[in-house]
Amino acid sequence: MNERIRIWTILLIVGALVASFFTSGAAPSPQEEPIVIRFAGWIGMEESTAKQFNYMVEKFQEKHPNVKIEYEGIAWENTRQQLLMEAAAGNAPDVAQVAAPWIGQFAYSGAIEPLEERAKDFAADYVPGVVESYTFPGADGVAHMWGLPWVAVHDTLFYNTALMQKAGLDPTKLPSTIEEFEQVVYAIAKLGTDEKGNKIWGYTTATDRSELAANVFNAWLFNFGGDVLDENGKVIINNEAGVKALTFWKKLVDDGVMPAGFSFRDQYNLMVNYQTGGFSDGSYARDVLRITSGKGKEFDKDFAVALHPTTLPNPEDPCQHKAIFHHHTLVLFKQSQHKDMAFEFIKFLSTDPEITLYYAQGSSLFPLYKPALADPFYSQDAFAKTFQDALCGAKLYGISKTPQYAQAVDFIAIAITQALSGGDPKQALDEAAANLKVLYKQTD
Amino acid sequence: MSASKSISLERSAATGKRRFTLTNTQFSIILLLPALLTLAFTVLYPLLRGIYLSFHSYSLVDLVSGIQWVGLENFKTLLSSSAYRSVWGTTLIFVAGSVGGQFVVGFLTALVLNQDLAQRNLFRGLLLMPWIVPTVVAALLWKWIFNQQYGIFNYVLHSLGLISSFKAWIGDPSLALFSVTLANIWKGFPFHMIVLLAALQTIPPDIIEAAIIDGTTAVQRFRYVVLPYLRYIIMIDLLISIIWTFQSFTTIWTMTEGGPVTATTTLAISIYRTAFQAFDIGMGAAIGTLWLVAMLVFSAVFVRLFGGTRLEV
Repeated sequence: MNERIRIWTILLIVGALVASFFTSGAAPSPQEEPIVIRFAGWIGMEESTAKQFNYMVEKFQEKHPNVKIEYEGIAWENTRQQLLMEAAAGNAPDVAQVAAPWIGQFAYSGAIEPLEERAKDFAADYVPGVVESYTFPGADGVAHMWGLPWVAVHDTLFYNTALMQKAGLDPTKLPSTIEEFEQVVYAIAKLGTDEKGNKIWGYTTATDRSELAANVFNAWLFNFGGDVLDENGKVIINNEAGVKALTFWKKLVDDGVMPAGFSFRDQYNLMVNYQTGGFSDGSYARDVLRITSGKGKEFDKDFAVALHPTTLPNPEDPCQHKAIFHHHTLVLFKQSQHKDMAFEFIKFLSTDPEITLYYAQGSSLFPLYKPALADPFYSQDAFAKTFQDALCGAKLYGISKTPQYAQAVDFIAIAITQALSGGDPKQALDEAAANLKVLYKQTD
Repeated sequence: MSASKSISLERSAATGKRRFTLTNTQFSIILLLPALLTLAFTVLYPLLRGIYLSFHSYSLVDLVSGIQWVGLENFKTLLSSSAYRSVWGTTLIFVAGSVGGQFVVGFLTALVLNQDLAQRNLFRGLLLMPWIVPTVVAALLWKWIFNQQYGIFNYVLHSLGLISSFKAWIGDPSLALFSVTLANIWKGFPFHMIVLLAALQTIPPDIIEAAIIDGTTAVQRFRYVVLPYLRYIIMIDLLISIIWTFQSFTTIWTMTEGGPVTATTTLAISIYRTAFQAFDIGMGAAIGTLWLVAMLVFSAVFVRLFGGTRLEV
């Protein structure tokens, strides 16, 4: 019996080997095998963009029948961690979607490929300032272009026009300066509570210990004339402009106009429930509000967007209304086995007029490639036009070009939460500045 | 060797074929091998790798430099950092508050459920609910409860006249640690309840009866009969709970991400922020290694203090 089992086992092993030999022989030759490009990002995970991404993939695969785009979904907040871990483990995707403020960390990691050579024929056709922001020295000390701009994400102010009307304000006159902003948000906060007894805030934005709180605050910082680092990389967050900006936020909190410890994602719920006068966000928020409200495009009549209020001179000039940009950016990983085709895919996503228009119309995310922006849609749609106007005032802040970005934004977020929970803005910013100086190895 | 002590796969000597004999120990090792190998890959290797990395500089935002030996540099940086000492302070308050609260509430509910109550089993089941609910769900639930705008906690306290205005329970640095501790007490007390309830039911009724006949009060019976009887169970219960609470991450991260400011940044949060947000894997590993050493010392001292003398009942 045992002999029989042994014989059968040997026969089975030999049979399996022979079968595998013939199976491999029948497989397509390397020329026929599809090229698999792994794309990682959050686009396919979010309700407002998943459908658009599937369409883009489908169109690209139609153009390139021998290519298969494999999607790796990563939540926005886990993107850096997961991509860097995958790169460290030798398992990076071919290409990925990242947010512009993270570009320095990827550049210094040594995980991504410089793109200046591949993009030299069309890099000049992007909106001014963006490609330049992505071009700086990485780990090798030489300046390279690290990412391909995809869609614009820069903050403007979303105002709840329904609440403005309720507060006796003219919803067609949106604030342009900080003083006008104060008048609007204080008037809305004065409404007190809604019919259910819920508090109505004048303005809500991230004020918790988060990257988003630091980023939104930095837009305000710019509009008060401040910054985190100056042009030479010196820490200046605690200068007079910085203190003014944080003192302004603190006053809003102390006066009950803006909540402290507030989580960014809660702003959409408050907006659609008419509990906030407004918030700061990128253009994609229109679709988030449409979905969250359950009213679709019908909800559009209850809000309007305007450039970020500013203290800077000449507020009639759109470029004086500053914003930090978080543009969605495409990067190519060094570990990619199919760099040419992977780059072809991200170029397609970033520049193809039909694809970018489809994305813009479906998700309110607008391209940064000028030939694509030539479509009348971008100038005729008032919402899209506001975001086009805001582009010239948008910039990537200095810390985004450094590998210490994550620690730096945490120090800023800590200063914000410290000041808004009873602390002194000057002291909070002095502490943040001291920590940033240690981080950037600055003696003064 | 007798058949009971070995497993023989040998063939008869007459056939001249190969013999294969295993002792019981060898056979047990073979059976344990898959589990041991799995543990080695999933526990031992990461542990040793973590200790190894703590002596190195390794940053995910500098993969070009790779892993570089720095000796004790990471530990020196940590031990001279006031922020690191503050993290330990926050962790100890969180652990003491959580374990203390969970234990007291768990013990009280165990004592109540050990009585001959109507619907006792129903209450036992209901009180286990917080333990059954996934931690992330419980944390989100408490985040909503504590929400400054529409949380029920503010509403109830305000309705009772205990607070004059709505508080930012997880947004105010002076309240946040209390709030996450309270959430953690709610989540963890059923574990103590069920362990202590099981232990209470092992106390022989005749000992209690004898104490009653001797004229002891209920407090005296609890102090001199029940507590000594439960001593070893309490020790194990507390030790496990303290170690778990030190590791607690999900509740705090979901509710506050370690903020506001650094009010709820415990060791677990600090490691995550250092290793996976600042991408300083070496420093994150150093925090973990110091924590491991501290927990080993603590466990040894704890067991020596509370388990040193055997109680004769």
